[in-house]
Amino acid sequence: MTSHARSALVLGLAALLSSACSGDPEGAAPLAPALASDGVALSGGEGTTFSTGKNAFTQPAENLPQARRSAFFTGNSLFNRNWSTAPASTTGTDGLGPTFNARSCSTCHFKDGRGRPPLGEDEAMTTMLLRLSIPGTDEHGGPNPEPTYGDQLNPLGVLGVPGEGDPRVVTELVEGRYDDGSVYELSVPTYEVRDLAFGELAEGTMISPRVAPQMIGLGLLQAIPEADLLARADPEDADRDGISARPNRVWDVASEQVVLGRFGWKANQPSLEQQNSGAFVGDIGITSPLFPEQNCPDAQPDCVAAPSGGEPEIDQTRVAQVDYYSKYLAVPARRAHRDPEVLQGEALFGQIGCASCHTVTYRTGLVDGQPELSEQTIHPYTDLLLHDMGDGLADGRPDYEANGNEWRTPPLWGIGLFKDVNGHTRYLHDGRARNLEEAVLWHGGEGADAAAAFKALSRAERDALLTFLGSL
Amino acid sequence: MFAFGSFGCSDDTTERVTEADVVKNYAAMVSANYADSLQGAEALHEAVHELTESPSSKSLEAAKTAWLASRDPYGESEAYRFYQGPIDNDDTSDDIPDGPEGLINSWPLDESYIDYVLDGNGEPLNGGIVNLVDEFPDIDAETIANANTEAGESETSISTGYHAIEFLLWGQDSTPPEDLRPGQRPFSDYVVGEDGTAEHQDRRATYLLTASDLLVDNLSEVNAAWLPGKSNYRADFVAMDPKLALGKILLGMGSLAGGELAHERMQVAYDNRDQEDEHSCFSDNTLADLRNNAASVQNVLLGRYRSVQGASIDDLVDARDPALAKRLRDEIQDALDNIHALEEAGLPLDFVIQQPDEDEGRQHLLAAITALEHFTDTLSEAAKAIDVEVTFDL
Repeated sequence: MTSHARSALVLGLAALLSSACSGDPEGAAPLAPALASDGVALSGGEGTTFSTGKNAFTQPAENLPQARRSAFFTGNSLFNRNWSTAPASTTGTDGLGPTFNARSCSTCHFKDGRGRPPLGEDEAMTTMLLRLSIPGTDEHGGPNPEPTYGDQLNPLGVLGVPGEGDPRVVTELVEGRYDDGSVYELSVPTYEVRDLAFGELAEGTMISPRVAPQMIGLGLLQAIPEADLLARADPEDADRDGISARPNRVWDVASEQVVLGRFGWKANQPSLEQQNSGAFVGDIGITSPLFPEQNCPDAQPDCVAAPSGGEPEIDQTRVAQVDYYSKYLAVPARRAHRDPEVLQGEALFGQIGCASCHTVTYRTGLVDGQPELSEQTIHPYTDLLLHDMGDGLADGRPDYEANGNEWRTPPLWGIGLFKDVNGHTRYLHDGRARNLEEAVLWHGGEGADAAAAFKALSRAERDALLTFLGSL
Repeated sequence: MFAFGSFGCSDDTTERVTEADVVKNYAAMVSANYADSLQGAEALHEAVHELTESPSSKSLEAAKTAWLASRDPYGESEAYRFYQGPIDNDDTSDDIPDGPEGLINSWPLDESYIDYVLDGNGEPLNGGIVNLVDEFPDIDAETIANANTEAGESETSISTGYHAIEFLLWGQDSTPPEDLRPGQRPFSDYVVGEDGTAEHQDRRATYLLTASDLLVDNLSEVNAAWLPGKSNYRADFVAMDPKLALGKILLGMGSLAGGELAHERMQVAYDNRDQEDEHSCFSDNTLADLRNNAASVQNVLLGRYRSVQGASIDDLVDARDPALAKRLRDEIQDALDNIHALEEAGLPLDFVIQQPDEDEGRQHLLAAITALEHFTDTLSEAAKAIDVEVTFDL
């Protein structure tokens, strides 16, 4: 299996390069296109799923044997389950809040998919959140929490505990033009928090909006060897290609040291385990062995006094089940990857520079106890590194070594399936892009050249590129 | 076999079940099943009314009996979920109204949102909508349906439905599992005056009545969507491309068998051994819930529900691959046999899951889970065999 996958990869890349150089997708034909394309289609290696539709993101890795699936499904259940207010008969899953964003993981990661911003000023924010901090850093170099509200706005509270405030997004349309003269519109969001329960936010509070990302392939991303990620880092832009890929360095709570950041919109989490437990306490209000402290600032007495669901509220067994689940969610295979238009778009993706940051292929390392995630050739379309994306996308809020302009390159696998899974086509960290085209157009900073090149393409070429992105 | 008078051309004369026949018969099953569910809810509502009018141990028992009876048809209807049909549609981009499933059967329940509960030291916390008079001056359907959806949160409430009613009838099951007893709420929780227990008995009664009234409303809505001879979801369902309809039917079966039932309701309880990590935790009715759900899947496979009997998924698969069809029948029966064995042992699930792995009950539970997983895999194969595209919600 392994050698087969590897040779498929080599052929796949050859096909990609060949068509990229010749500009003629048909040029790939002599290189056994079926095998080449099929290798390219298996985005998540041997664990790739061929599921489609609403449940496309919910499947276990195809290569996870039945005997190793029970923890996946138990984790799945905990992921979907609503946590209840403590005390409840269901002692294993009580302890919601006291303040929270959501009652379950799946509220925001619905069907293991992607959140979106409210569609207008009148809609509440449910599948994205606002991070808050004031200038300075915490003791480990991370964000300095807003003193009254903490590092994340929790709009909801259990009975008797007020929610912190009601976040809203207001948008404004701005026009732009392609080189061929055709007009496009982008939706520019601004954020406000209404009905703040404990007074105004502190002077200089920085707000970072973030949508819930899709859950697929996370174990594979964790299994990419650190050296391979760092090999692509170019912090001072030594190669003068206008792109300075920077690793984030963040605090690892378990090992109590500074390590490479991989997960989160700013690569601000070192591991899935810390990401998951961080989300439990931050988003649902569930304390865990890793984060035993409830997120109740002193200024919120009802929050401090509310009954606890246990110390901690989720035990290590259950945390481990959710961690296991989050590692093994399969990446769906590409669709229509042999379509000539898709192949043309794939070539353009390389030509205009998208692949400089959206690294197409990695090979995972050997991970102890996780044979299904080991030595897999995967196509995540990310380098997991930080890039300055320009002022237009900037949140202006540093997160460890990520400055206010930098974002981590997000993986592109599965982005063509958001519509099927979540019924929307919203992209970027706050979902401002209303489709893939706008997502490309928003690229600034280090992505500005690629966006400019995209604007210079003909209509047919732009469509081909977008069709390719939709096949991921 | 020799077919009399057909001279070997049996294929031409044997009546073959069509996809459209299966869809039609399915619609008839669903309709009959929801009619029974509605009837069960109406009987429950009557019994609850009697309890609140004249609370006694007898009227409380009668209400509990009515609740237990109402669970059977509803449990058997759960294979009609998971495909954006009338029961649980949440797709806002289509014409079908949002389904009330979240109001009918949500779990786990936020019981402290509803009424008093005991804290870790066994002391009552007199909270919840029943006791918070200032925050909830009036208890009506809107209050209990919206209580958990403040700030426009999209999630459905967990203060309504069967399990809210169950909690209001039985109370928290705070006895140890080895006592083999469900919750012990006294009928006097509904007695106003000096013989009453707990606080706000009248408000508790109002809550209970409102919740059972809402249950009837919600089931009426679903029932109406499947009534024959109307311009409703059923009419659209039997008129759509049968392949699409079969995709929905299989999605419901596989997602219930392999996802909701095997994993959500059984594997978690098996793995984590939590006393109350079970669906009907106040009444200890969980094994019956499991049996009804497995029966629901079997009903759809075999195209039968009570007096309804007709063209089935089994017939379609059997025509393509008899061995595959037999495996499907055997595997779901295997799951049911194991659940029956658990029921016959007479021990509640919260007791069984806490036993060591060698325990016969735990082994039956594991065997039922495994059978359901096999069934779901086989159902995927069967879908391919009859050319239906489907991805189950596991």
